[in-house]
Order: sequence, then C-alpha cells, then structure tokens
Amino acid sequence: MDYTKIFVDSIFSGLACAGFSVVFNIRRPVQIFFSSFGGFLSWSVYLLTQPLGNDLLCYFLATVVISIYSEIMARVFRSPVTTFLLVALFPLVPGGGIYYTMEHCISGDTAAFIETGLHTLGIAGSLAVGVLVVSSVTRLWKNIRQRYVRA
Amino acid sequence: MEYNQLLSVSAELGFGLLRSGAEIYRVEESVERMLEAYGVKEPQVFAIPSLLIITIPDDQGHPLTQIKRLRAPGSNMDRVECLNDLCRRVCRDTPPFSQVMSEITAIMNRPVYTLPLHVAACSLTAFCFALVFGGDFFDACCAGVTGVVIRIAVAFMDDLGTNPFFRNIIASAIVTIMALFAVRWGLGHNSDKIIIGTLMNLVPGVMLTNCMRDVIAGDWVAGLVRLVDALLVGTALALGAGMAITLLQLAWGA
Repeated sequence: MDYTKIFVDSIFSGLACAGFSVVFNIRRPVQIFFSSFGGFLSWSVYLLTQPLGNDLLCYFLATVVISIYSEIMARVFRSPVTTFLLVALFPLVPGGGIYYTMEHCISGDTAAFIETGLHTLGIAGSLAVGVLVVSSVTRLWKNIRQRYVRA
Repeated sequence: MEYNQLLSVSAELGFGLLRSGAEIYRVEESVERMLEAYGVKEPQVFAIPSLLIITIPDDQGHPLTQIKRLRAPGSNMDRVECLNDLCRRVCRDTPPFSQVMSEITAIMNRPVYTLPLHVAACSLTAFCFALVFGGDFFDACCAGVTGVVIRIAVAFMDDLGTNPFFRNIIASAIVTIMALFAVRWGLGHNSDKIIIGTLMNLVPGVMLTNCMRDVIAGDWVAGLVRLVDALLVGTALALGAGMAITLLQLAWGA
C-alpha cells in the first residue's frame, strides 16, 4: 500500500471537513480542528482497511471508528455527539455513488445502474449500522453503569 | 404558577433546538426535563423535523397545548450546544421565565458565519473532495471555482424563496454544465470528479445520518420524514446533473 498517498488523501479529506464545519456553524476553533480530524480519521481508516477486499466492511469499520471518536470528543468538550459525528461522517457519504448511479441510468446501462444503485444503498446501510452499533452500545454502557456502579 | 408562560418558554426552547438541527430525542428530552424541573407532572412532548407539540396540565388539570410548525430547518451546532447548556442550567436553577426567554433570544441571535465565508468553505470542500476522489490538480481547481458559483447560486435562490427540490435541480445542473465545459476547453480532465467533488456540498448525508439516529432512538416518524427528505434531495441532484449531461450531449452530438 502507498501510505504517503493515503496520508495525503486523508489530509485533504480533513480539510474538506473543515470547510464543512462552517456549514454547521461550529464556532470554536478547537472544535473545528477536532471535528476535521474526525474527517481525516474516517478516510484514513477507510483507505487502510481496503486490503480486506470488502468495500462495505471498510465503510462499516470507518464509521465505527469515528462514532467512537465522536462519543469520546463529545464527552471531552461537553457538547452534543452530532457536532463531531456529522462532520466526520461526511467523507464517507456516498455522493459519488449517487452520481454514478444516475450517470448509468441516463446512458441506458441498466445492469450497471442497478449494480451501482444497490452498492450505494449498501454503503448508506453500512454507515447506518456503524452508527447504530456504537450509539446503542454507548447507551447500554451508560445504563449498566447507572444501575450497577452507582448502586 | 403561570402555566401559559411556562408553556411558551419551553416551546421556544424546543423550537430553537429543532430549528438548529438537533436530534429529535434531544428536543423531546430537553423540553420534558425543563417542564418537570418546574413541577409539571407528565408533560407530553412530540416532535418531528417539521413540528413540535407540547401539552401540559395546569393546576386545575385542564390541558394546555402549544403547536409550533417548522418550515425551514437548518443546521447550527453552535446554537444546539448553547441551548443544551441553557437547558441544563434551567433544570438545575429554575430561574424566572423572563430570564430564560431573554437568554433564548440571545442564543438565537448569536453570530453565524457570513456568506463570503460560506462561499470560501464550499470552495475548499469542493477542491479537497475532487482530489480525494481521484481527480488531478486541474480538476480540483475547477471544482473550487464551481464550488464558489454553486454556493452563491444556492444563496441567491434561497433568498428568493425557491423550493428546495427545484433549487437542488438547478444547482446540480449548473455544476454539471460548468464541469463539462471545463473539460471540453481542456481546463480539467475528469468531469465526473469535478461534479462529485462539488456536489458533496449538497449531498444529503447529514439528513441520512440524522434519519438513522432518529430511527435508532425510536422516533420512527421523524426518521421517515428525514429519509423522504434525503431521497428527494438525492433525486433532485441526480435529475439536475442528468438533464445537463443529456442536453450537452445532444448539443455536442457526442
């Protein structure tokens, strides 16, 4: 694997997220930095897990990593998880998939259209499951702590 | 106790959260906690992305209801954070309503980024994503320019009150036409990378994520509303790009 390329690509992905945090009106510079770092993290995990060979699994793992990262950051900065999660998840969102699906549709290539369309849905699904797993486990952990540790 | 005032203050807080793009369970929980802090028994709160309903019983047990309809949701994490803090403080100290109200107004008037900054940010995002998705430096520069144009176009159409579906079709068509011309004139090399990089700014990823989070939290209706919203935006972007490509292919006879 070309680690330099992965690093550079991830840096650009993080920069893109810095631009995107303006859309969310995130004001504190520290917070902008750390949510952009989430963008860096998500894309580098995605690229580093590529050798696993299953694209959807890469998306899933990347989502799990940044969900955990967002939960930690939210506790550190005492701010909602969404602030970090939405920005960090941004590079993984299947924008390209939507575009290519449509392009195949217009060129009349039905087989490719269905294939890309299903793949795009699959990506959205893996992102959802990734977020689901982490936030459910966090809630579970919180409840367990409340019930058994405090008592 | 002034139940009417309590109702409108808590509705204002919930509405502020909803309007700034907070998750549905956060909106409902915040309002419920605040009402309970002031001693209301069993407040009923229901929220979906476009609506907030609150019902509380007054001291004689008569129900009081307030409905707030939201037409233009936005995303402003700064406000969500401040309102969240405010809610915690209110639950702890239960200050007088007028003070809470003025604090909510102050939070809703907190500064937002100006349009030039939004334009610059959009351009930066487009530039970076064109590179990330495998475009070369020239593609990225083209994407940077289309990013500027698209953000200004979107702001202009929002200002005129264009409906979001139509706005996205037009925005996506503008990007596609500019990208195809850029490649035809030799300024960029991969039109698809330019288009995807720029469209990442409009892609409904946020909505999709929020939709999933809502569904996980058990707010099915809210999740469905957001899912439909996300699908509509996606369709609009695809339609716009598709129309532009087809038209230019016809015109250039490719």
